[in-house]
Amino acid sequence: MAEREAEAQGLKEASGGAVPSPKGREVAYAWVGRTEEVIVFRLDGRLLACSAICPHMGGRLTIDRRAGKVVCPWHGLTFTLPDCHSTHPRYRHLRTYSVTESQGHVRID
Amino acid sequence: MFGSTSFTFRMTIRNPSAWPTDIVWENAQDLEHVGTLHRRTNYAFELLDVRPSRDGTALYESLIFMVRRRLLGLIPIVTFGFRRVVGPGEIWQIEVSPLLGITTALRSTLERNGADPSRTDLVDSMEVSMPRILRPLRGFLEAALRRHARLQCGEDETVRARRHELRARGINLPASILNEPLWEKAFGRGGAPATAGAPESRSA
Repeated sequence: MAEREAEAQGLKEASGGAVPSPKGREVAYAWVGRTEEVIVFRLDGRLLACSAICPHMGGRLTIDRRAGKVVCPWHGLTFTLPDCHSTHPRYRHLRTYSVTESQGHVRID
Repeated sequence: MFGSTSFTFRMTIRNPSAWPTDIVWENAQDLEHVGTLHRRTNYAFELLDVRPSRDGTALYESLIFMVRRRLLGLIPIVTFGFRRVVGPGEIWQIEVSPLLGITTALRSTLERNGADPSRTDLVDSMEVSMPRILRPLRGFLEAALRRHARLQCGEDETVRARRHELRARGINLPASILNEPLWEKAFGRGGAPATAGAPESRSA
């Protein structure tokens, strides 16, 4: 059911550190190892990746393109793009990842 | 509740969750998410004051808050509330709408599902008091409260599923209050007002 919901929202999901390249406004999620979930997206054509786990309580982060922020849908904690910083005193930043794209897939390093 | 000018009725709302009591309890205590996760039923939430849990067994002992509720998904109603964790799996809450003169006294409890103990039933017992003139709207209000609770419980299931998944992966992010209450923003942690009162001392 989660896969169908993800498909309906234009999300791409994969595991193992490689994910189909998100196109346009799509976002992609991937588990890297057992404990790190990453969100991959494009911003002004540039491919970016950061943690998809909100450091507060673990909500799955999304991208608010209009606000230019990474947002947690649970409590509204936000991180600025592209640096993934927050003004919250306890949650200053999200982990970012370097990514390489080839043949329609993104590799998360 | 407020004498002869008011009309009072009681109602109970039950909503099932597919998750065990510990996960549902964690989510039940969290009220800050109503203005973001529950946007279909609320416009905004503001934490006015928090009293921390004395023994650390709950997320807090009590909260004072303000919510802009979304009556039937559209009509904005500002309410003020006081909520207290009275024991494991039990919360009491008073919420007042000054505009409508409606007060709800809520006793919210969790019960293990009889057929499947790994599931939980959320039981909200309410006493609603309102001006007599609004008595014909009782059915409307009951329907609105049931809809509100059902929608929120459905949205909360996604949170519970996620928390369960994270725990299974060994990711343990304990529940905590995210935002600084308005009281602390204005007065600091138990201190005096930051700007009001005595004038700032100045060196000569």
